[in-house]
Amino acid sequence: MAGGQHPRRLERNIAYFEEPPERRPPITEIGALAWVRANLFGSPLDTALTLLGALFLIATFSFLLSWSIGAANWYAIIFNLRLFLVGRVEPFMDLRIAFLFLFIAVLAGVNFAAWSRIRRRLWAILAASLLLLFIIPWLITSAISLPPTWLSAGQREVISGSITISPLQRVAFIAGAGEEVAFRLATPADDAELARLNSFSDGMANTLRNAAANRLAGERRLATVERELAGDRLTDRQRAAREAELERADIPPPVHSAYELGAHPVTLTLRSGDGNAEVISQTVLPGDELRLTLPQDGWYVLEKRVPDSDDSIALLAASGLYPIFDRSFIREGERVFQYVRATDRLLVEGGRPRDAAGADLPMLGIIDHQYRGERPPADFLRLMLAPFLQQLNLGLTLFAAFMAAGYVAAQWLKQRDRQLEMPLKRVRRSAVWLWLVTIPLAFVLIAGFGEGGALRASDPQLWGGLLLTLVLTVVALVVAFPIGILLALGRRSALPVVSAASTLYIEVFRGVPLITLLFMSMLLVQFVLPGLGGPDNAPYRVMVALILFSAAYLAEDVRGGLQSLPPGQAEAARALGLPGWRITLHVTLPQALRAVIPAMVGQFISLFKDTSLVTIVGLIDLTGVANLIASQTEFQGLRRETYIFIAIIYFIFSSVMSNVSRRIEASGSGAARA
Amino acid sequence: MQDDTSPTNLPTQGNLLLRVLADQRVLQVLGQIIFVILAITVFWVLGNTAADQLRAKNLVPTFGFLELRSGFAISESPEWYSGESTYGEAFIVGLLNTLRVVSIGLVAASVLGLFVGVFLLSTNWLIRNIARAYVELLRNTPLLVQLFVWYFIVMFSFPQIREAITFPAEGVTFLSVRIALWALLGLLLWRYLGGPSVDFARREALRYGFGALVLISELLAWGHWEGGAGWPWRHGAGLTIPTLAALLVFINLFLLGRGKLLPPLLRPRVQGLALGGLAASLLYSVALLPMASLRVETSPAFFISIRGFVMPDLLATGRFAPWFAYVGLGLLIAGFVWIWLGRRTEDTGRPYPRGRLMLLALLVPAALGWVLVGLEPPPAHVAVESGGEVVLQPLAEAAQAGLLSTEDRLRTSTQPLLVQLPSQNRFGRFLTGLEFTPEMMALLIALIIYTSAFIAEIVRAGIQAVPHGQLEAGRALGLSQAQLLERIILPQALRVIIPPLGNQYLNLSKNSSLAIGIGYADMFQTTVTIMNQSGQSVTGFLMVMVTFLALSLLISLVMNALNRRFQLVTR
Repeated sequence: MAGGQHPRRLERNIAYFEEPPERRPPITEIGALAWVRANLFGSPLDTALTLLGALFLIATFSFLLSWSIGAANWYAIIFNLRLFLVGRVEPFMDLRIAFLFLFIAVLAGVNFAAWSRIRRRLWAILAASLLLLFIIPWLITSAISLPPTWLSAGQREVISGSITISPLQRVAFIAGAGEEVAFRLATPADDAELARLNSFSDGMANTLRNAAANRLAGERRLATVERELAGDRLTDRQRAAREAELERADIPPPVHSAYELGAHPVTLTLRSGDGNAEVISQTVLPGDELRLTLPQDGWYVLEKRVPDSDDSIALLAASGLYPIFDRSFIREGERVFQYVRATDRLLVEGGRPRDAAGADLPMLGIIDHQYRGERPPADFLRLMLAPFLQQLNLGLTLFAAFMAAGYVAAQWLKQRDRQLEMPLKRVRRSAVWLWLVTIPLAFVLIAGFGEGGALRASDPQLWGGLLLTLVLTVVALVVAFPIGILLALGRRSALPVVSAASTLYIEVFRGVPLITLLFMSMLLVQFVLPGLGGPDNAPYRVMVALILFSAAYLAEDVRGGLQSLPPGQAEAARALGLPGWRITLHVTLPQALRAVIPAMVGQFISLFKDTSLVTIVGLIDLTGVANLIASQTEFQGLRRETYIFIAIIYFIFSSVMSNVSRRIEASGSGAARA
Repeated sequence: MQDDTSPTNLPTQGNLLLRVLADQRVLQVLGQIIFVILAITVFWVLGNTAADQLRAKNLVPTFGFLELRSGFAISESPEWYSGESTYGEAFIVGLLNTLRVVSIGLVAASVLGLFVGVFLLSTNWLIRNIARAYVELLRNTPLLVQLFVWYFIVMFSFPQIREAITFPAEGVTFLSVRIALWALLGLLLWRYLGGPSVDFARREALRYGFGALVLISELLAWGHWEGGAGWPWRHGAGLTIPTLAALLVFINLFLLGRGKLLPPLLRPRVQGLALGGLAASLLYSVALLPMASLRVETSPAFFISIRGFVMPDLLATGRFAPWFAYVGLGLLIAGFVWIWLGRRTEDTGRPYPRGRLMLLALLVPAALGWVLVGLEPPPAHVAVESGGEVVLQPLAEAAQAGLLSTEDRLRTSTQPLLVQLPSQNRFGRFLTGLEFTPEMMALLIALIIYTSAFIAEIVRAGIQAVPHGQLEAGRALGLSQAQLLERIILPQALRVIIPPLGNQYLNLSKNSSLAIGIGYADMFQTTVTIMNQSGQSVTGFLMVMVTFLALSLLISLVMNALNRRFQLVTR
């Protein structure tokens, strides 16, 4: 190939010497293309692996994305955020936890100042993302309008499969003063359009939709079976089964015509909830729209009838009516009923409309009026993303602001003390001391004491969510730390009895699964320490197990640190005439502890993950909350959403911690000084 | 802390008692005595409180309850266990389940971890980063959450048992005679390409051309059969591909100066692809491909449904024992060959294909045994139940009529091993086949995948610990990639890998107790049930702890032995 040209060029060059023209390297050898070739398509095997990997990624992400936009019910997260974060703690705890949260923010800022520097660009990114947190929801809510709610009217029952349902004559909803509601009569042209019906819909609208979808699916199945029977790829057994299926098949008539959807006008009567004062009563014709502005906050009752026909069903697209979450709790000894509108958290307390007999009227509850059908991206943004961000943005902004304050303060201190010998060291030392002070302070804030006052004792049984997870992790680790050091020293002790006892303890607790210890603490600790019995003290009982467990692991970490020290350190100290305990306290232990910081952070991470096991013994930590929500009536069985959410929280915490640990390791400040 | 007892620093004057007390040796003994007394006191007080409490609740710990009737059924239990069995037997069933999960989990997690670990070091950017994401995601989320995801989300999303996902799918497939053709062609090509005289361009063109020919032909044939006769495939895609291919070849070869548009490395490959595609389309258009097919009916062997995973069972028949004697003989010979050849290599310095010869020594007696054992004819008649009475029928007839029970088949089979396909009754319950409940599947998958992430990191660190010069030296000696891996990398990497690997194995065995979170009847879950029923929690926990400690000890012993085997021998 190229060899053929070479001699010829040589010949030409004999005549006169010419500098060969400078040529750019081939495009396949430099830049992005070369990188792609080297890193993705280096060999046939590589190419195959790359294609497989890309296929896998695309499949996974497109599935996850389409599911979370189109199908996932993120209300399970949005309406339970408090449960996820702090569990069911009493309302008076809110202020204390908020204080703690901001205090930790300040502390985080001080630590940033002490150990690393936040560059200007990072500040800008932080500020921009916080700003986006505010702007994005605002943009979404102003640009995208809420989808309608589908309501049904009529006197006739609708049947789909084994489900028979009749329309509600009256339905109660909540709304604010000055809000506009509109009603439009929907006239789907065929079943395909009916089957595509999405947005919030009442039980009957959904049944209609299902009936249409089932009919279409039945038609498709029939076509498949006929095609299969015409082909030659069926065994005899399958052929018989298909033929029987064909025999049995019974495709009902089109749904939209069977129920005469949209053929007759509907009479709507709207009354306000208190005193049943009529707001409007009007008939809506097919193709018309009824619009009106509501006079006051609170309950309304919508009555809908199809007066002309007993056989007809009507579908109404109503805007301004949205599903309601209802919840009740005890406030100062009284049961309070609260109703919250799903789309914007409009809150109405009590006053639910009743019928003449005194029974509650059916309301537009979230259970019967869920979002049905495939959700378009616009609805996802408007109904799920915007409310979620709106809930997060204030907390995150406050955290960032207080962190910045702590950072600035610490920087200022550093500047002020510049003439001192080691300003940085002082700041670092105070940062560590601040953490040490924070931990008992945090515990006091969370647990409280006494009967009354701002710091009255909280009920440990109600701690939950991330709060419980963190409390368990931190308390277990902090209390286990001194025990672990003692055990490590004990194991290295020259006294055989002490050494044997420590070794036995460490090996037994490391050889037994944590879940066994947790069960043991739930069942047996109350026999040994009767004071810890009863359901109130479950978190404390669990703490006992976690402490005993992590002490054994910490002991091994510390022992590793002690072993890594060169023996010269202890020998030199002894040569100076220090007594044994002072050698340990002042020479070996500090160096050993510094050496095992990464291992201890690793222990913290694994303990943080392991606290999820307390779910199995009945505590409601982060994992427990996920299970709890899946058992709420509104969010029955929504485990995908909740597990994904808690997995993200666990992942963020663990990876931030392991990042910190990696930094400590890389900076060498963890290593023993030679 | 340190042993520091030089007698010279004893005071030589003063009170004897003080002098004795100042002696470090005395102090140490005293300290230990005080420690023991303290420990005993603490345990005494706590133990007394506990004993009082337990006595008050009439729960004095004994082992006698193990003889009592358990009264609960276990979904994953051998045939001998029922609600009538004792608590002790229930515990043993749980223990067996734990051992089953742990043993499968250890092997599978190691294999998966090895692969992911190698992927972590891949030169392929995408694969490396997928592996990294896999490891980070799994290591930074709790195992319990993963277990819940596998169980409540993945296992529950499988279809009902009637619509189970099956492999192979029931139906008719057409095994093409083409496969033989491809095999023959491929073999010829491989022999030809193996020669040293073939230049790069021709080799690549032939390789890619052959690949394209097979792939496109199969695609066309598949489309043809899927669509049935007269499907637009024939006129649509079936003609588009050849046209496109021909166009490509034409442009490349004739219009644009012998393919100069393409980089030189790609040129022969594209040409090969185009020609292969063209050949496939030609074959297709003369209708040679679809016709050369064989009709085969397939029946499912693997089922996945919401009720778990079912696969064919491998059963030992009545002739298994004699055959196994042959296998044992083979094992003996193989071991002998291994040792003897090892010695020969050490003595003479010459390499022998030790692995291959050993395999041969193992396989020949096994195969011979299989044939010899099968020579004895089966019984001519078999007793079967027919119409309420037991009658003697000729074996072949009974088998054809489907009257043979599993026991009959095991007794009359001429083969030592019998593969039994899963079969269902009309309610979808499986009568035969190896069943894994969804609980066990979820637990196994969660344990394997979680542990594999940690093992992958260990493997990566181990391989990276091998100095790069070792690889280069190996390459310089002309070792192949496989030899490099076997002789250079693995022995040195294993030295680093084994100690932390042992830790992960311990973790896996302990983590198996999370089974209780999803209700798989492992040892701990069974024991908790026993404790709840009998109230014997102290004894129950004692049993669990002792068993886990024994299991840990066992794994530690094995791993320590392995570790000793692979450590550097310093002389």
